[in-house]
Amino acid sequence: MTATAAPMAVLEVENLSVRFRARRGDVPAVDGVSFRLAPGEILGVVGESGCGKSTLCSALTRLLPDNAVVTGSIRYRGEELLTKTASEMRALRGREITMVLQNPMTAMDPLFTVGSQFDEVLRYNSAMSAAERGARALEMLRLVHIPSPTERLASYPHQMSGGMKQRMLTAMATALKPGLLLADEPTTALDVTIQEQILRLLAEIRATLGTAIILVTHDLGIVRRLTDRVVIMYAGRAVETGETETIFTEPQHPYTRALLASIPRIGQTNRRLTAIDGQIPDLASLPPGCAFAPRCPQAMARCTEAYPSPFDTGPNRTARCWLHDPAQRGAPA
Amino acid sequence: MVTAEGLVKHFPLSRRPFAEKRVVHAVDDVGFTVGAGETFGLVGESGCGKTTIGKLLLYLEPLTGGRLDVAGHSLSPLASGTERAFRRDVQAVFQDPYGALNPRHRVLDVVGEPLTVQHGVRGAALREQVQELLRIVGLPTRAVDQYPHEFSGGMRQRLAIARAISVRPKFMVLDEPVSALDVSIRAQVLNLLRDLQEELGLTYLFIAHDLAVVEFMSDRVGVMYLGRMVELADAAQLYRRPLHPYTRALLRAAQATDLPRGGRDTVAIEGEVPSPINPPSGCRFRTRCPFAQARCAAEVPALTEVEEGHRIACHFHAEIEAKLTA
Repeated sequence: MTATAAPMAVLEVENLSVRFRARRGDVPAVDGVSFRLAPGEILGVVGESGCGKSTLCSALTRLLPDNAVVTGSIRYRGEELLTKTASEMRALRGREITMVLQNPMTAMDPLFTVGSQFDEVLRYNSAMSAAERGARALEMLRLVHIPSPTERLASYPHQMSGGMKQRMLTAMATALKPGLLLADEPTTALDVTIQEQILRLLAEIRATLGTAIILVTHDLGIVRRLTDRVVIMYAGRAVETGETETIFTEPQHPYTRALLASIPRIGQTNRRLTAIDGQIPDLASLPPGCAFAPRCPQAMARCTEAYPSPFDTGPNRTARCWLHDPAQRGAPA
Repeated sequence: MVTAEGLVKHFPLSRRPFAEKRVVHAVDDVGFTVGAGETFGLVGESGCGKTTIGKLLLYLEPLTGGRLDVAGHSLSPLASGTERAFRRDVQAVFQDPYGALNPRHRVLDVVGEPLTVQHGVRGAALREQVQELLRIVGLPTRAVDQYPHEFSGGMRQRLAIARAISVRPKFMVLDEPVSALDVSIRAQVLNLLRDLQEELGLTYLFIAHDLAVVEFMSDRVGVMYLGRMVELADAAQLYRRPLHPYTRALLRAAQATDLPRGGRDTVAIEGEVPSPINPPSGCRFRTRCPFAQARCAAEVPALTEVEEGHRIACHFHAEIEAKLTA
């Protein structure tokens, strides 16, 4: 690794695990996930429901419920987050680490004007004067292309469409120039042409403010469009990580390969899709070994016995799969 | 199988007497046909009227105007006494497999109910037929005694499909049948729907917002915007050579997130879909169309054939194409 030469990372996550204590036994929601995020980088976290991508997001902001047991390390600009007190975390959240969530409809209080909610964000998280706060809000609304910003700030959430609200929330989340923006399915509730506008906006935010973004989504198309690097998750584990383009052109983990093959693409003429058989496993009763093995076309005997640590498979690339075991490489598969 | 001419569906906003009469223009003057054994795809964003079209074809909503024939039944309106036969000929699968199945009924009852209602099948014969249906949709036959909550989303959608095909319908409305499912499960269900169509000779109306999924499933595709059909063509034609500026914008949005990254002669649009209560005059897309001119506000563009099987509602499509390909 070139850790010494690389610029200081915004976020370094090492061997992060989250278990939820439950009556019928622990549920391993996130298991041994590691990644690194450089300033201004956009990282995609991809997976299906129950793969742990949203739990991962909550762990990064320390917003997990009390029955969660978190182990590993999360360092933001070199500082360990897992040992911070609740008040230290509150100071970070909203200022340094901010969020945009899936449902813009419920993210604002319907009883207050948008302007007062925007002002609250700035008042609570900064020492700006009232005049400075007003000016910053207007500046941010222009940045996210909201027409007639002065009138908009005086309106109520219900007077805005979903796409408009998501722009507004993005403006609020980035008004204090955070180092890290967590975007959890930010376009899932929106129509395609609006989705396209929000994705363009996130790319602009990164370019103008230099904010690093973690984009959590189930949509591989969005990931390819926007991200620099990707973490593919399955059943709580990061099965493959790497640069976006190489993941899409040369996927290494059988799950990534199967997922890419199963998606219908515009202009393809196949009469059948390459489906992945079986169902997504229940986290409370994972099989021993690799969780994807029961659905994997290349599963071997050892896949059901033990689960490997991530193997380095190239520059900045890992795959958690026995097929990439260096001890076996070169040997017939 | 389906002939629709000038379909209109308006929903009144207020039923109070003397109140100003305002209506939601959900569907306005939409016409199309679906041939037997064919899949007709409908795409568009939320509020474009695609689900309302599905409901009209299922006779779940009465028509405000127009003429509609589905599977040999006239729905303008349906003749009294023929509703039972209509429900046998026309079935549906909806988006939410969690809401579609009664949680208190066993699979035997959930899947078998149409057989009992339509053909009076009961007891051991029902059990046998339900097991056969489960086998057809790729579920274990022991599922017959289980409850819906024991199944995942994809398996529940298979149950909904088993129920729909139980009475051997001629025509099925599939309204976003995979959009609630996980990505790795979607392909299974789409393949199943294609196989069943071939084996049972079914005709589909396939409604979805995902353009790639619609292309995969459909023989012909209609693009809707704010209650109107703006473009209608063979699937291959539409995706290879979209002509309406809105179709171009939709394809651009889809291709931008499609693999491989696309570009081509597409159009980026700003703004959002206007309210269907007070839709723009003339062409309803003109408020977002980068090519709009005075005529677009004055005159509703008719859906006209520009090449064989390719119809489009735009005054200036030829000029736009010349401009974009120049």
